[in-house]
Amino acid sequence: MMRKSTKVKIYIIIVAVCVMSVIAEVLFAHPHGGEIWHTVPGADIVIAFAGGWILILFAKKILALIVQREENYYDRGDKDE
Amino acid sequence: MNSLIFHPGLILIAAGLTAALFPKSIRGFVPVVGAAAALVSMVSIDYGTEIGLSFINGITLAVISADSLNWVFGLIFSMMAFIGAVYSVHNKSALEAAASMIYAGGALGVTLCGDWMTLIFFWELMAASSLFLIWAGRTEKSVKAGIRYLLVHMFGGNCLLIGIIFKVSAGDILIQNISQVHDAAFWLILTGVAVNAAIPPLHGWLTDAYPEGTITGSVFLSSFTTKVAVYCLIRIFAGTEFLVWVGVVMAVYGAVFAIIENDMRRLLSYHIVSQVGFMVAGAGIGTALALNGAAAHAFSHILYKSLLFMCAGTIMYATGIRSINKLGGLAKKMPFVLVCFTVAAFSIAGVPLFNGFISKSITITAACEAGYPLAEILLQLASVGTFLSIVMKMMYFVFFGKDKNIEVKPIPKNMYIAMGIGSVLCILYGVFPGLLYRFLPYDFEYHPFTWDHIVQYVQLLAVSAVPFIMYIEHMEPHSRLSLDTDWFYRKPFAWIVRTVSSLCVTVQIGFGAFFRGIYDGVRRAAKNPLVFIGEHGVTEYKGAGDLEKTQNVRREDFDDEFAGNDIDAELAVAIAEADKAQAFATGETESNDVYDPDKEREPVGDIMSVVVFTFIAAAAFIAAAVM
Amino acid sequence: MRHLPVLIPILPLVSAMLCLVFSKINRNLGKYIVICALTASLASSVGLFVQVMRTGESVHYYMGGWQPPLGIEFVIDEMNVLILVAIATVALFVCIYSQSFFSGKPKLAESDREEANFLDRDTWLEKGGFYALYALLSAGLLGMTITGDMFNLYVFLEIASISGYGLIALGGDKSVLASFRYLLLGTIAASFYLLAVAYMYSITGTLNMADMGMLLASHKDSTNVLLAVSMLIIAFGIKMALFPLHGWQPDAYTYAHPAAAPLISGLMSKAPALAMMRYMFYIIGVDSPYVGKALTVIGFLGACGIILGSVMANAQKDFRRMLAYSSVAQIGYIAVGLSLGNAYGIIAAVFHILIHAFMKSSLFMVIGAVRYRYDEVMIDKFGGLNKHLPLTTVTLVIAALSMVGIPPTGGFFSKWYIIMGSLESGHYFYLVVLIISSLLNAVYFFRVLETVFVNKDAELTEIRPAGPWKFELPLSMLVPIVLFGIIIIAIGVLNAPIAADVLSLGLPEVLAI
Repeated sequence: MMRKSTKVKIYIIIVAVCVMSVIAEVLFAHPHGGEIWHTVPGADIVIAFAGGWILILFAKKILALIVQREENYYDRGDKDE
Repeated sequence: MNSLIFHPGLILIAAGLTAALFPKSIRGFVPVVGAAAALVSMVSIDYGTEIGLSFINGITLAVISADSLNWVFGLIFSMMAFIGAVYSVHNKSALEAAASMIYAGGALGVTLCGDWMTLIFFWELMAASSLFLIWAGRTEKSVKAGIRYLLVHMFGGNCLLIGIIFKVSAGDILIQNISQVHDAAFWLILTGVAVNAAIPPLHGWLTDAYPEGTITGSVFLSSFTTKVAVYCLIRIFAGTEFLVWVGVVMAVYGAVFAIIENDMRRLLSYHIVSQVGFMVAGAGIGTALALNGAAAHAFSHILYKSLLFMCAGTIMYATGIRSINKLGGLAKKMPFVLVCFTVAAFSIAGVPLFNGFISKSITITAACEAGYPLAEILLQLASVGTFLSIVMKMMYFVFFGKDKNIEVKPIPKNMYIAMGIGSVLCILYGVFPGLLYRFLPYDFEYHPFTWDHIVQYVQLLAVSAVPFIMYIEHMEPHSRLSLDTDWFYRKPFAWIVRTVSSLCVTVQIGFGAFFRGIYDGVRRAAKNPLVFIGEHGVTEYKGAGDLEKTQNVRREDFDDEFAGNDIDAELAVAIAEADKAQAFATGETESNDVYDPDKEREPVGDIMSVVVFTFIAAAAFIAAAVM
Repeated sequence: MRHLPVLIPILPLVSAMLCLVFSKINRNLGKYIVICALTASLASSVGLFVQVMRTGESVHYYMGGWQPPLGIEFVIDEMNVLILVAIATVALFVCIYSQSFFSGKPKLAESDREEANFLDRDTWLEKGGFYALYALLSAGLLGMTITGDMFNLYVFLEIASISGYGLIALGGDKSVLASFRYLLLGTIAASFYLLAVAYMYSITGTLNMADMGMLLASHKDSTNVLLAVSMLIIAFGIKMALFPLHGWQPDAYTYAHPAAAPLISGLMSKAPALAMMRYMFYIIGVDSPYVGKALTVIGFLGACGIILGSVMANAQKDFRRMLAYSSVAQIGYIAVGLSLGNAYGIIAAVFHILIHAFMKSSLFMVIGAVRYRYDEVMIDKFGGLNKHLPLTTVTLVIAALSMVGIPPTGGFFSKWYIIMGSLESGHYFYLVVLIISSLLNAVYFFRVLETVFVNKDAELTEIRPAGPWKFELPLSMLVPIVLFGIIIIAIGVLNAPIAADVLSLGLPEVLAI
């Protein structure tokens, strides 16, 4: 897949973007919601990271086991419809 | 515009029907001309145009009843028909040209009409023409997928029809919001619309059939059926609360399945489910902001989803491969497609400056303002999933990743032009959202480019990439098929059909054999009444048809050949019996799949069975009448 | 002009008798006489239609001037005048269509289907015989529709049936067997009918339908009526192939002579359905408790027939047999419509009789055309038919869409009326049956369309030549096929005036609530 160096470069860019966005949020943003994730700066980072992690784990580990079969699953058995 | 002849839908249908008459070389341009004309006609319709047609019982059908809501949907459908037509210029098939144009025309018909009966007419027309678009794939898989599609849509269409008849017989002719009363008509119409909107668990047809359509056909398919259903949801079911949760579940469902999906267009189909979930949730919330969000999202979604399907179709055309894990390293070989794909992928994820951002954020803000915080979080989760599967997974593994030295065929110019138009529009609306906002139906105030929106999205999307890159070795999709709710009618259904048909055949053969047996017995007794008292197998009578096969070989058969030589006769009998047994086992028995009466069936037994059966039925009648 | 009603059945009857005689002189003469007679019948029925519509009252004609109740009368009211015109139209155009089958021209290739030995030579006996039987069948059907006398109905029923048996037996392959089975069952049916008439006659002493209706008013719950109703159900059930008395129909329609199959399949089961409606609603009346129960039974059996017919049709590989089973389902619709008993139900039933006659006839004309050119009846060999027989395929598509029930063809509207009727009377069970059957209908008809349009060309060998000027069929075959396609759409588009201005006026006085 990706070389380690590419990965590291991308991580650095993302961290930089996050830092800049948190600064921008603290300075400029006027959130208009009452809940916790609207007010805390950088809340979306947590949501995205945790959410993405959970989604990938769930999809790959749990869902794939339940739902996936081999490609010609439907064509094995039936002669008609 | 004051005449039905210029109905944009009818123009498209006419273009489709006449496309077959033109010679192959220019056949591809007829839909383009027709779609352009339809677009002009659509734009010229003003708000409030009402054109009717009289029907039975003094009802007047409101064939065109344009207001701000269906004007914007009509606009995007006409634009999409044009883009799709440009994309299909290279396709010489008359069937596909006709089917796709009639399909688009039907979609416009449903959108612009104002009464239930015109709606159901164009609705069925859409189902029938899209069916042929799937069958045009001409592979065995697409034929079967088409039949399943047909069954599901006929079911939905019938539910819709009966719900509409409930409404019409109660006197409501015009389409209106019926979300207040949850009566039988409500549920029936909702079921019919839900089938087309691909709301789980009724969404199986979408992920089953759209990947099997043709390259140009799927572009049309992805744009119309579900969005027409969304329009109906906005018009008819706005404010139905449980739709919010249905939509949220849909959004996450589609995103999650897309993460593990391998086939390019099936992945995009799961994304249709996911994005339509946003729209369904918006319709459910029901506030003006939410409905505008749903309409705007539909508008943008058509543009970027068709662009995605066009890119996927172009890749399939050039390489002949439809699975992600067999592709890789196409970035250098297909740079234009990469650019368009990037535009579309960023749009669907909601990156600022593309048109997904301006529409998705409306829905999410509306959810927050209307008091559904949990829904908002889940919708954002779905956005994360979208980013993961399309921007990250599909883009990385198709265009970057290991270079598998895939050969790339040259691509017709018209596909480039169509993708170019799509990309330009995506960016245009993304940068100048006002161009879209001015057409949105309800009054609202919304500024997408505020700091908190931009920051929110940038954070969301940038960080979503991290888990992907962490696990990138595991993220490549496997060559696997995902079972979905269509399993319920695929596996059990085939089994039921087989079992029931073998039962029917067995019963009929049984009846025939039973009565034939009776008839034979009567004949035998009539010939020689002593036969029942005498020996079994007295020779003169030769049993009818199949009876002979199962009778044992008799020693008397060989008396002439081996006169007096018992040992050889025994051997011959044994050999003959073995032969018979083998013939019976290997080939002679017929398959029970289809009752084919032209095969061996004793005629008289058959007649007698029908006659006697009729008598029994007659007796049952009389008994029933007496009771 | 006063004698128009009697001319309608009499002219074909006379022409049938003359046909054989004149065929000896010139082989085609008999055929032309039959065609002229049928044209005259059509003209007379159209004239009667105009008259009934204009004056708004039914036409009564007394045979030989004898007044009823002793004399035989013909009654034409709004309910059956349109069916009469339909029967006359179908009979005439199918007769025109059938001419090419007996052209006796040398074939391009011999087909290797040894079963395809239907009558098609040019001898005077074959031609004259066929057209005589055809004219008899038409006369019987026309007479059955307009007669007002119960025994006269039996006479015309038998005329139609016996000539029908003959026409089926001419079809080659297993047709004799199929015809024999139909003969057995049809005769049983006629006997039951006669018994029913006898029971009713025994308490009222009259054979005239209107008179019987009046006199039975005081006997609504006597046992005679009970027995009569039961036997009528059996008799008409066998004749119209109501489940489970439909056993004769698949083979009969499959093996009938391809030139006569459109008439047989379109109309032979419909006239008895019309007669059953007359008996249940006009003569005995719904207010009799037995009729109420009978209608429930008929409705239930109709629903079973719908499901069974659709399911069995799905399993068929032979197009004609598929159409035969689909007929079982369509008769089920008519039975369901009748059993609903309210205005919508009866209108639906009669409208469906009307549209189904044209749908089934056109479908059998299409398969007859395919058999004529290519001697092929299996569905999976239909690939690419739209290139070889384009106009025929257009009619096939229109008829298929109408059978499935897609607007604006007529089939959609008859479903619409049934749905309205069952909503009004509260029988939601029929709605479910209708949904399931639409699904099944869609599958087998769309499968045919898919084979035609999407499959590879089947490369069939031409058995007989195409028509003049590059038309795909001889004009005498092509014109009726195209015309019927147009009529199917026309009936659909005009369904509102048909239902409101024609059929509603002829409804019986007493309707089930």
